[in-house]
Amino acid sequence: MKRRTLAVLPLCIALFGMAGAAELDAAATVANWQSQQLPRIQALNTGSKALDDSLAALCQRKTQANLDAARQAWLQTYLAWRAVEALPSGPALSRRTAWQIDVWPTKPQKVEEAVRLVEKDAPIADSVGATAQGLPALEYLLWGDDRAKAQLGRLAFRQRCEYANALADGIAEEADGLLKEWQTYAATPLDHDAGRQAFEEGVNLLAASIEALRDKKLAHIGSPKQSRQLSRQDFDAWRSRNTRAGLQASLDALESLFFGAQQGSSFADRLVQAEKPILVRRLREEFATARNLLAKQPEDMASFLAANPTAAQPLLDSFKRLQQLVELQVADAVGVTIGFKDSDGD
Amino acid sequence: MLTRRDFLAASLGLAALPLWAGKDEGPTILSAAWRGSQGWCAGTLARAEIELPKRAHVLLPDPTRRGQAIVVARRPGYYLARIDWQRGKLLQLFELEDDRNLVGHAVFSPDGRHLITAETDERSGEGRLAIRDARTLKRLADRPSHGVGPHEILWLDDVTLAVANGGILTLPETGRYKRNIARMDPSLVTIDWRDGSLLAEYRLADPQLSIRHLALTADGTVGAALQNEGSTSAPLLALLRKGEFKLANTPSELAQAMHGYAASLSALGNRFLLSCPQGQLLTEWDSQGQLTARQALPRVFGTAAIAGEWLASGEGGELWRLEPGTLALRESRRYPGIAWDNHLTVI
Repeated sequence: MKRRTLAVLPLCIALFGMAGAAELDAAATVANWQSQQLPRIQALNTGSKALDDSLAALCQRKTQANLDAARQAWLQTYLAWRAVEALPSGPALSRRTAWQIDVWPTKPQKVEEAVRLVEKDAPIADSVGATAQGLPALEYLLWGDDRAKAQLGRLAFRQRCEYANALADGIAEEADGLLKEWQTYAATPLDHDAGRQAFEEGVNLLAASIEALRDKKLAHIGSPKQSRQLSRQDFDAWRSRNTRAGLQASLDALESLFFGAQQGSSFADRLVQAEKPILVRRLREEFATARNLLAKQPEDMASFLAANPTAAQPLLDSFKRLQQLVELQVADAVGVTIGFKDSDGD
Repeated sequence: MLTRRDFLAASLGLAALPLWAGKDEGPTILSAAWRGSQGWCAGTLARAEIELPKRAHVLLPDPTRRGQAIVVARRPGYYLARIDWQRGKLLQLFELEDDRNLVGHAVFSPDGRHLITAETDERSGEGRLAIRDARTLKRLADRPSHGVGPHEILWLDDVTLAVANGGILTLPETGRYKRNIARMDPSLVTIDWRDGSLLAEYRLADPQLSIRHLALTADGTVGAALQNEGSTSAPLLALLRKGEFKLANTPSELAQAMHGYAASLSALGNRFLLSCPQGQLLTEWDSQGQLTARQALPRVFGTAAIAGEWLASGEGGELWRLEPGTLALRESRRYPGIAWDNHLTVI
């Protein structure tokens, strides 16, 4: 976000009355987001329980069928999380769910160290860092780096399977805690001030999620942060070849957070009511563009883009336009300051 | 605002007057940088070609190993590097311990045996000062920074450290999103290095002024460069002087021109030099907080005091030598294809 643009916002608001922000019901918008997120968190909870059960079954009987079931359960949990992650607000933020279950990239050498340290039926030791835990670490144990077919044999090593099971336990425990807290959070009405604060945080988190799609999840292609030659290891979920599926889950959830409504009006409806129909139309068009461009990517997007990074450019451009619409126009329309910029912290 | 005339003035000497031309034994200046497609690098100004895995921030000459320096990764950073700046070689790359990130700044202990790095604990969000073996870079001990978001650390004497706690909580899972803007708590603290105890804690009235960079003048005034997270313009220099921490006397026009972001601060005698890249402005202040000079320069980031003069660096690869008291340009030079990072280190 350009500070200069932000600096003039209060003046613009004062001069033009900011009719939109005054009319938009922030608490009701947050309530809509809360109700939309609830089934996603329930899906995460259900998926993680199934994942935990499937790992327990795998460690009991190390068969290809049980490994396949565990991989499928991992995928369902991963996709459910990618949808929740589109708006990691409220308890997801305060519990630091992303930190608990999705530190990326995982560090294989740390995972291997943790495998050696694990004790049967004991929680993961405090000394094991976050980069050796959560869904990415479990993905590494289920698929490996290159030899997916060899993983069944590797999981025959008792401690390896026990550590994978302990990771699944941890993910299920966090998903369960999140669901319980979310139910309480969503059932607690927000007064005007709390609603406004949650709304401002929500808009910031939506902008941050779109930026993550454009940058971190796509290996920083086209960014000065990516200074060396790309490899598939730079992409989210490359081991299981689910990079595209993860992006789709996040993008779908983001689109729904703008245009969907479990109760009352959607965020987009409220923007229209605030006399921003053109902005809403542009958002709708850009989401459709991004969705279509993403659908054209191959399933194993990581391998493909590592070899053909320029093929990502139209999609990156679309994500960037989406990000700009949210950071500049949506934030302006609803009187929210986007509180981050690239030079922060230096 | 940088006018075309200002820009031309800043550029005039670029080709004609190479910096310290003709001096065989000039001071050495280190900086982190980046080059278009070749990525992150560090080294001397003449030879900033040591490749690094990610963007670096500050370079610290190792006081016990001549010709070597430690490179600290930029926030959120995960490596320390040892370089031989004389030979242009990377000697050691140290991967940070789990669940910590560097914020770009560190200092050596007075005896040179330890490196003290400012860090964020990714589990708790707390600011920490890690005490490391200066040779191996392994963490030996760990102390609180007594705040959130520590940034620059500065020795005030042999036992007292000043720490700028920026007050902003950022965590790896939400990237650059600031988690606590409404509840920011920046502070300037002084710490007894021997046991890590808090000696004093200073705050400004406006909690949205993040305290980031520090410098010490000859008369013992600590300058703090600020970054404004609020929506209205504000001064960007604060001074700790005789136990009182307050903002420099900044005309509102100047506060607006600085655009809320100070990148670097240096001291020379009883003067400070403050860079404001977004405002494309360099300002000089006395230790009582009065503006003494200003100079418009494009995207000016790094500052340093060298041989009784000021030096500043730009994101466009520029280096400027400036006259203390007036900030008149004495020499300019441009290194094509390189962008200097926020800080200059003089050896």
